[in-house]
Amino acid sequence: MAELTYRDAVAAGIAQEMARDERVVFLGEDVAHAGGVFKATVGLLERFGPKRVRDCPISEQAIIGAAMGAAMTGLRPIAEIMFSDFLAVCWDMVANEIAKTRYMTNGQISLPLVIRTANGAGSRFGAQHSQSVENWAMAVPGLKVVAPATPADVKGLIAAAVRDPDPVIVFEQKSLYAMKGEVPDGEHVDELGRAKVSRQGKDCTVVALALMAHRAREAAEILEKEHGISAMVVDVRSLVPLDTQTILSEVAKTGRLVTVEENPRLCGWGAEIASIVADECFWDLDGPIVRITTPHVPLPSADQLEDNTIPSVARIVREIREKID
Amino acid sequence: MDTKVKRSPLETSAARRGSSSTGCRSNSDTARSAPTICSCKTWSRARPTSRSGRKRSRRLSGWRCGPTITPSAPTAVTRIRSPAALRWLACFSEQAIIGAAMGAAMTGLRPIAEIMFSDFLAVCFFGDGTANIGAFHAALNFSAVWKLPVVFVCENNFYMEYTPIGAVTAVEHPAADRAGAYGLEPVLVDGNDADEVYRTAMKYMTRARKGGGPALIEATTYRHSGHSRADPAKYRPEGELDKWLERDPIKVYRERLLKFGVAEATLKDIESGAMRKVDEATAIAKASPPPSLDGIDKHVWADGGAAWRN
Repeated sequence: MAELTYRDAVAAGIAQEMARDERVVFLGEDVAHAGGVFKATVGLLERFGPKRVRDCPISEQAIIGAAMGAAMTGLRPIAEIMFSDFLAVCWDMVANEIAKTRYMTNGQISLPLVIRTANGAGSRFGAQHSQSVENWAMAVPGLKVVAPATPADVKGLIAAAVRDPDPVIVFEQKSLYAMKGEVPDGEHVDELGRAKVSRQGKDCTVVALALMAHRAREAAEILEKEHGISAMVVDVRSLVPLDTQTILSEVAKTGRLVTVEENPRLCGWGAEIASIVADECFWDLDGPIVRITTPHVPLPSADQLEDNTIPSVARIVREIREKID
Repeated sequence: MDTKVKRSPLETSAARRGSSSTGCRSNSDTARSAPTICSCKTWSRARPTSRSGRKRSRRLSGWRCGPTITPSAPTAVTRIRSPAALRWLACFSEQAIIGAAMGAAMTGLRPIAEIMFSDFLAVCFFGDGTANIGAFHAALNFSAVWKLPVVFVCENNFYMEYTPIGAVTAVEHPAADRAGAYGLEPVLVDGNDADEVYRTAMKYMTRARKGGGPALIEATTYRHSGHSRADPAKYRPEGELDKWLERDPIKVYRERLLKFGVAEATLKDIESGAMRKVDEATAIAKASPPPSLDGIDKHVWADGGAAWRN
């Protein structure tokens, strides 16, 4: 096992797939010569050349449109949208075309493409560069959606996304790029649609995603040490497909569900999970479902404001103490 | 060919009417079976013609492509062939049609594709309204920068949906007048003259296939009906439709064929053949059962299903 940063694991995942399959091409803004604005694609141009690793103009529509056409005609493109907020610029192609083409052609046209994008807050980039928009994608039938929390997961899930025959959006949490973690040596391919229990516990099941999966674990440690509350943490990892079996069985074990979501309150992914749990394991619940989310506001950029907007470790601890104890 | 000369569509067509500079042309450009990808909102027919094309085409059987051009017409006399990838992209959004065409052209980057399809080409059709969408401009820039083999074809029918395009566009020719911004020449062609369209298309398709980069063709034409079933098209000035019906491309071409000695009986055969095909297809559609409800949750994913959870 080698220790890699999350950003290096992104590059390693792309490189692994480009080396394996010559149909994999990579395009985005500042991704080739500059190695990405988050330095997550350093070395790809040098290794795979300018035909397969391409710097594009600031034209999200052109990037996604090109990836779409390339996927329809035999390539396996990976397109980078620098900030997930900018998906709004090309959402027509993502939501109206890429997601629907297979269905509208009765299965005749495949779109095996990956959209990678830097998602989420924690880096003081402000309201238009910090949103958690995974629920936008989750709301559109035909898109697969993953949000890896660790270097190993980001490499493995990018690889799985590239190999998947359907369009997959990989939401990389931009505040995690510097995070280090063990990544399996050699070829590493994960599986879409699998949640992971990242911490065992018996008093409540905390379901979290990406950056919030880390904060939930930290909160769980504090809850255990300082407050005697044993919280299990489930990292959802994949929103579509959604591993409801793991979530339902882990909620049934503790009798309580807490979701920790970085997205603003309304229609966050946790609302769907709460609905499924309420519907399918209501009688296993010992108390109300708790959703911890960003309030329903655009994200402020000032340090202290951002810190007090997205769920912090302290807030997760406080809310779980208040509502579970 | 005076494709660069700006004229009003009616002037253009009047100048051309009756002066059909025709004669049999070589069809070598299309006959050498270069893969062509068309993206458009409508469907029509063609046949896969080579072995290499069969695999993909079979998958898309029923999805056929190409302007149906009758083999007896004087110049536009070829059936566009599609050995490898002649297909319509099932796009219903102008932005995506444009973007996807670019991506299709990009597949020429693939080393294998370069060997197999060295003259790969994408043709992208869209309307005048699309020329005011951001993606149109993004796609032109992108294609010009990468010198992609794409021919963009704007069918300017003078109405975006209900509103005349001229009322909402800063330039007279919504596509051609923007070409210069991307280093492309403005190409304006009488879209109601099949021969003119053919010659212009072949010129720029050939150039694109040879690595000459993208082209943007604006073909002026007219919409004889409303935009949709719900549109009675009452916003048109009185008499406008009648003027354009005089220049109905089918009527114009029929007259030209007669002039070139094609027998009236042959033309009647072609027409009745076309009518018969449409009537047969209509009859089949009407006689067919409604789609099975099983189809609702099929083909969201490659596994054939629609499951989003386990």
